[in-house]
Amino acid sequence: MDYILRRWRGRTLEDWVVDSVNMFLLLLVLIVTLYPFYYILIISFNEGTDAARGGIYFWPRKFTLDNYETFLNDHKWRIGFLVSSARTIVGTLLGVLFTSLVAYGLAYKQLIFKKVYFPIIIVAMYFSGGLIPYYVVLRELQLLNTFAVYVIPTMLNLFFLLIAVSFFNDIPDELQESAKIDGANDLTIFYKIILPVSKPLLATMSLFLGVGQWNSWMDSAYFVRNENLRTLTYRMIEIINQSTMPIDPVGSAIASSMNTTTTFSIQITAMVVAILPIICVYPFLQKHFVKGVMLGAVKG
Amino acid sequence: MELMISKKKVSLLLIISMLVMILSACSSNSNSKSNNVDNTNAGSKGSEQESVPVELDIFVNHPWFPVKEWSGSIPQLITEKTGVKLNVTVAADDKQLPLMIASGDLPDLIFTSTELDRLADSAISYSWNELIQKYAPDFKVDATRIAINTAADGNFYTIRNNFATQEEWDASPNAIISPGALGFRQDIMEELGNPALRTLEDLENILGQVKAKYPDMIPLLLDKNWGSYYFKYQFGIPTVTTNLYEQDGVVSYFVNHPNTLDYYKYINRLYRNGYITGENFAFKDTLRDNDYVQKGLVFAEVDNVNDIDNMNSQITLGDNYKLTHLVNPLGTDTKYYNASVGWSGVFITKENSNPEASIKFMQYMFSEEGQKLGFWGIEGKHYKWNEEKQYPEILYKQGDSEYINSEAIGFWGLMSNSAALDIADPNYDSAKVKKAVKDTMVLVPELGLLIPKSDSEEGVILSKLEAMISTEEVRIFMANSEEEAEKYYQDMLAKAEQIGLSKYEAWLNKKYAEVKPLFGK
Repeated sequence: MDYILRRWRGRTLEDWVVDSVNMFLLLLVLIVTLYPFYYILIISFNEGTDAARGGIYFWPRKFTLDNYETFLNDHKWRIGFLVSSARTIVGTLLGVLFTSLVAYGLAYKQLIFKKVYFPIIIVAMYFSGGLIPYYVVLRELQLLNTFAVYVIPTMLNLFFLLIAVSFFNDIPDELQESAKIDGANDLTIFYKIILPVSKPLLATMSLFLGVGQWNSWMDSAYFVRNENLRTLTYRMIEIINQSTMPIDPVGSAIASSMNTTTTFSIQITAMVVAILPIICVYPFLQKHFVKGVMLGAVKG
Repeated sequence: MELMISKKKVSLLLIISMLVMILSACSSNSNSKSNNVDNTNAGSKGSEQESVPVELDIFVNHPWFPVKEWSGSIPQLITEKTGVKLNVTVAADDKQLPLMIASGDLPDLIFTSTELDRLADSAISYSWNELIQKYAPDFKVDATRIAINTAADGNFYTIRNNFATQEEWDASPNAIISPGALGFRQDIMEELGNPALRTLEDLENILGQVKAKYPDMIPLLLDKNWGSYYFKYQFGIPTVTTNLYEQDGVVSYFVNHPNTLDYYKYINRLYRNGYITGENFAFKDTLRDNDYVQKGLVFAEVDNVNDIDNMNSQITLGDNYKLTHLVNPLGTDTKYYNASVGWSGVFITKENSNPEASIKFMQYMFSEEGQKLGFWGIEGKHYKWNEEKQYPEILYKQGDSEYINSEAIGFWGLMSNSAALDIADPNYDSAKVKKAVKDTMVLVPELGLLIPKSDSEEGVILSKLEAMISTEEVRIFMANSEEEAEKYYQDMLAKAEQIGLSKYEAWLNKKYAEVKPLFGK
């Protein structure tokens, strides 16, 4: 407290001006970033036809929970939530574990054929066979229409593999050597020494892989036909699609004669239901990005 | 010791996650297997229509389709009648079907309005003529429908919906079409003293008065698509179902139509006078204009006739803000060229587990009873026939999408409905608009068949023409003077010629000579 007071007392006019401008700009960025989320939240709590009138900026005008009731009473959405949660947990866990394990192997300095592996990884990272060959591969592996199609193809993330390799390379060899002297084998070193000091890496990977798993809807649309395996984001896309009119005039006339549009509030609520759980995870992992766990690990 | 526990934890975690994956894979495999068994068993019984319905997977290639399940009283009754139950998958986007075709992983049935050429292939789909001959010899399809659906190999692989022969139109005098329409604020019209609105000039005058009296208001707003469709129709230019017209035996593209320049000049004049905003031409989607109308910022709106109704049902500012339909056409030379050869059809794929049940199912859906059940619903529950005025009177709340979707009213009828089955309640204003446009309808299905394959030379020319015109048109609309608009129009024609308009028109006329005899012309 004293420190803060001292800092504030000793400030010059220039400090005040610079800080004020900084704060103002950052506040502006904060509002621009957060307001869309806030906006969809209030619209989702507003009555559908009333929201269509517009003019809602700060509070719901006609508060209702009806929009949420629609989703929570629908078993498809409940199943979607379970599937999305399961794929996020299992997929992230497997992805982080497998990617870091492979990365640890590749970071090993005496690894033979090291120069062969990296070009393969780089090429595979930038070029893909395209959707159809990918689909055929999944079919040959019997992965189509199974839960495994969500988690197995994402087990090895090449981008994070490279990041993890460079991260592991930066860990001082002395850490591993000292463990070896104490009698630990490679797996023990990995689990007991390397992973604990790699928390920032693991947290970053978990967050990105987790968000990727949660947001993914294309695999649910293309590779799965079992309605009980559909994800939450797929259901969200379904709702949004209902309001997308066909481009061809005959089709659009037919679609509009069927009056298929869903209210904006329902669409927005679908978005809130689909993104809120993952937004809640962010604050808990965010601190790991800035934490320098490695600082002071080795003294000497 | 600690190390051991940690190792155990990690191993346990791995084992659990592997087990979860294996179990989930097994369970869905066993599911799909048991489904297949069911299908085969039921398939053999399908023709006898026993209590176990044949289950068929259908892929609906219409992402907007709100019915995702085979549930509700209409599907139930269809299952009772046909012994077929559908497992529905609705497309998430337009890439899904091409992926399925390319990978060969197809469901039993595909309901689509795109990829028709690729599906009309004996390697991918069963031809209906073959299946009808084998399993449903009493399924009679009229010659025109066969003609317009026959593929290059001489077979027909689907019969598209939303087509009607001249006889069907004649037999159903109250049948309507869903055109573009103009809706205006009646309260403002009354404040202006209810001026006459019978011609395009009248419209200009009224918009001028609105602009003078209500400077903050947008006098006229156009839907991204239906705005141009509506005004082209007023000038007698082909639109909506075709961009082609025939004059003295020669088929031409609409840019060459004698009234096209007048149409461009008219829209340009509306823009220059400030009756249409420049922003209107930048709308990227078809819902943008709805926002303005719902906020009460617009005097007149041009949109699809049904969209105006839908918009009205969502306006909550008050009845004054609702739009009144303009029933009469404004042009002197209005003509609605109906070149529809159908819109969407069901394909029976080679992966189909029960082609016999599938074709018999389609036979029922195409029967008069099946069409009415699918399109109008159950008589006495969803509609009753009004003997006096000859139209189906609906027995549920119009626009109650929750009920309509849960009962699947109308949606499965789209697999087979004749266009002449679309009969609206004449008491609604929108029905009067539809009827008025239908009265100007000219049936030209032969023009609807003049569509080049997308990968052919003509197909490439056509897509380049469409892309060029969509940008050039905006230049014409927003020109600073009538002379400038005319100059831009001539520039556009020159560009069209460079792209290959003459070549495309030559192909059109060659193809036209081939298809004309199919319609006895």
